[in-house]
Amino acid sequence: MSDVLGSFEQTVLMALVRLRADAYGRSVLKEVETRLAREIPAGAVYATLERLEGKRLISSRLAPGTPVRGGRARRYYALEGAGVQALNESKAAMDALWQGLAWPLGGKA
Amino acid sequence: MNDHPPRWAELALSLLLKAGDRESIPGDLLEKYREEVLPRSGWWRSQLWYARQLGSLFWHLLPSAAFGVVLGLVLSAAVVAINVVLPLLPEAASPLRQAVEGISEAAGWLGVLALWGVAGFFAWRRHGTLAAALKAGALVSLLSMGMVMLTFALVDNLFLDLVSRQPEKLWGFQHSEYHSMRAYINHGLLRGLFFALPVMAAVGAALGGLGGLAARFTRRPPAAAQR
Repeated sequence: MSDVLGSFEQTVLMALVRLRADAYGRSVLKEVETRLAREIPAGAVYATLERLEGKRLISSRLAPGTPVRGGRARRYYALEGAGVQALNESKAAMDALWQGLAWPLGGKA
Repeated sequence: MNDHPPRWAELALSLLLKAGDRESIPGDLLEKYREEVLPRSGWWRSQLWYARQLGSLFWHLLPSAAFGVVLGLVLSAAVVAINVVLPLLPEAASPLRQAVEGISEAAGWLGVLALWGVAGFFAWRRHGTLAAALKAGALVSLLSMGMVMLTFALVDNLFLDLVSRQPEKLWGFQHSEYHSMRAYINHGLLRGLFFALPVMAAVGAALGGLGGLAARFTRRPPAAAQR
């Protein structure tokens, strides 16, 4: 499973892990921007959420909106079991790649 | 201060989003616009920010349509260059004119057809289905050729004097039953709209399908398609 997760997909999935019940579109975008320390186009996050939902790694549900968003509904996202497994496998694969190497790397870049 | 994003952008957003996202995504953008962007950046920059988000949503959620529009813009620019700009250049620039016309004739169409296939290739890699590749090829060909035809309609009508001097137009007009060059050209464009465009869409779908098959043999399908 881990070989089908791109690095941005992992970033978005980890945002859902951190946000838990508060993971809706804007909060996910904000969390991803905070972690990556740069502005991210909204389209990139929504397209990734759509793709992850297509892979059944996450699910979503609509909830009532607030006045500041003109009463428009919020879509909340939640990690599915397959998503948790994919993230675990991605982490394990990355750890295996680093095994035996001292970090940070020394020498010339 | 007005705390609304540009109305045209909100309308465009509602047109490009799926029914299930028409509330949640504009709501998220409005929330961020009012709470973060507007207080931090002021009205003008906030309007630009919203337009940028619209562009990113178009590019990421409808990549085939965005690709078709970009290809259409490039081809339309080539149509204007070949039919309007090059004929107005002085005689000294005739080698440039011949070079551009030679390239466009030799590589232009082949390149465009290849790009329709490329659209299918990437659609298959995204969705893992032949239907997605067929649709992508058809959509890119429809949008790009539709924009080219629209550009021809504008160029031919706005620069009729210039276009009327083209040998193939003169020959066609003289061998037709039309009484004016404008009527001859516009009827040709209408025929193209109703007959050539559907044919182009079918060709685009076929090439998109071939691109999708090429993707299928070069990489295994994404997880969504394996289930």
